[in-house]
Parts: sequence; C-alpha cells; structure tokens
Amino acid sequence: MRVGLLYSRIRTDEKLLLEELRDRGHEVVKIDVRDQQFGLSGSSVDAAELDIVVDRCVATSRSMYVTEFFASYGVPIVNPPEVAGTCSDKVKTSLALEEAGIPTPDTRVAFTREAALEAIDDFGYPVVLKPVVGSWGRLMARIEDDHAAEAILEHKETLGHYEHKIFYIQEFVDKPGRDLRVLTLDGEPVAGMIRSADHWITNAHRGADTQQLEITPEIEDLVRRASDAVGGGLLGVDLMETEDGYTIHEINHTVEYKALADVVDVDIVGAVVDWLEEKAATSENGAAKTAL
Amino acid sequence: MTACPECGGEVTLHDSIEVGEIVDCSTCGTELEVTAVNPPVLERAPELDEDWGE
Repeated sequence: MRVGLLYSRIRTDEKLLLEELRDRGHEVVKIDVRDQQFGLSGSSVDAAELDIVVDRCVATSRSMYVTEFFASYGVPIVNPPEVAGTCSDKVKTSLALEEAGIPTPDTRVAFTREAALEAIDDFGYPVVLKPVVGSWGRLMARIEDDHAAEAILEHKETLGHYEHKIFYIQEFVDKPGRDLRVLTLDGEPVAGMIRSADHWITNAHRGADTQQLEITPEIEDLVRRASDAVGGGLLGVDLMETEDGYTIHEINHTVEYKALADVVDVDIVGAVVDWLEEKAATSENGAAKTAL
Repeated sequence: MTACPECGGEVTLHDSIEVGEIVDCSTCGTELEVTAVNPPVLERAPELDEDWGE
C-alpha cells in the first residue's frame, strides 16, 4: 500500500512506524505539513495516489485541519477529523464520555473568573484546572486553596490565549500514584501500561515509571466503549483507579507508543500496521481532487 | 559528522537518520532538526509549542 505520513517532527514513535511499514514493503510518502498548502479543490500533495493517510502531527492545531482536508479529498485517514476534533478538546471528550455513560471525572466549564471560583468552591479543594487543548500534562494546575485559585484564574484570564479563558474545572481524583494507558485499534485493546510517579501528574512524557498493565475484562469493556464514544481509530485511552472503579479522563488521537512498546511483550507497531493494512484494504480512496 | 549550525561543534548522526528527526548537539545542547539526509543538513529545531502533544 501507499501510505501518507503527516508529520512535522519525526519522534521515535514515527520512526518505529516508518521502519515497520518499509520492512513490509509498503511505500511511505512522508508529508511534512509545514511545506504544504491545502486548498478546497486539492492540495500540494497528490492525495489520489495514497491508499491511506496517517496523521502523526505533533501540533494539535495542524492535526485538526489536515485531517479535515484529507477527509474532504476522500482519502481514508487515521484518525478521521471527527475523532481528532473530539479527542483534542477536553470539553468534547468529557461530553462524549458522559453521553456514552462511561465514568469520567466530574467537570464544569466556566467563562469568567467569578463563575469559575463558584464552581471551584462547589468542588472543594483540591481541584484541577486544565487547558481545554493541551497534552503531556502541561499547564495543568492542582489547586489547593482560594489564594492559588484566584491567582491562577487571573493569570489565565490576563496572559492567556482566548482558549485559556474557557476554564475547565475538574474534580481531583485521588488516584493511587498512578494512572493507566491502553492503546486501542477501533476499540480493540492492544496493550496497556501503568504509569507511576510521586507527582500527581503521571504522564510518561514527564518521566513516570512504566510497567505492563494486565488488561482485565473490565478494562477491556471500558476502553472499547470509550473508543466507540469518540469514533474509534488508533487511540490512547487513559484511565484512573478510584474507590468506585475506573474513570476515564483522556483519550489521545495521535497516541505515542514508544514508552508502551518498551514495557510490553506485544508487538505494538506490528499490530498498528496490521490494522492499517486492513483499513486500507477495506477503504476506498475516493479522491477526485487533483494536486494543486 | 555534521556541523551544528548553532555552535559549529561536530554532531554524529546514526545511519538510519530521517528527515524530520530531532538530534541534540552534544557540545551546546541545542535541539537540531534533520532537514536533509544526503548529505545531512541540520537546522535549529522549532521550539516546543503550546498545542504540541499526543
């Protein structure tokens, strides 16, 4: 197959994918999105020649738009723009999970400092404030008291991009020093890992210790439903353990799998490429648009 | 060996280097992006942006 790989930075994750695709004899067209133009009737990439496109953009804003363009050109894309749109926005993810009846941390959104402080007061401390778009645990705040809440909200309101004025306030989940990541392919769990840290943020990107997770039937059922709730695809589903069971707080649509591959005895990249081959074989490139 | 565009130090690249890959200059620590492989060309890598992630 001929695979388009959208990127602006080749991380180890992309290198592993490129190696596996090439080893299997697939032709890979690396598409640095920084060099391209995307028009309404076609782009500087000849989309008609691609069997499938894989979005590996590290920049969420680019990911959201390039997926829209390739979908509009009729090219099968992983993940589709609807999935990227939902997963990249924490508000949309929370709503999708809630609508699907999947346990997710209680969340409120407020647009002014005053309304946000009222919501924080209702939750009680500690409480978590997150950016609606963001990853790797950045710009998240665990707020312990009124003084910190007032200061952080003022900073966000004064210094931030307009998105930071959408205050996404979430209950603090007192997890046992770890959270769980499961990589799924259209809901099918491939492998999972436990991410442990002394810090309340337990992202692997921030240096959390990782070890293989045994995927129980309960976890499998939850991640399948979570994947369905956001439209499926190649996803990283994040769970936390609570006294009442699991809660799902995030789903990643350009999931990194290097840390996972390092700790599990499953061929993650092989499974992803198997799935891409099947996807390409069962999808049809309906691209009628010509290159610019 | 390729010269670091920031400090001029020599940067050793492995054989399977890819365009778009990031390497660190061991002399000055600057993150460098591989913009060509044959012959290798290095440029200062873009700074981390707020919307980067997974």
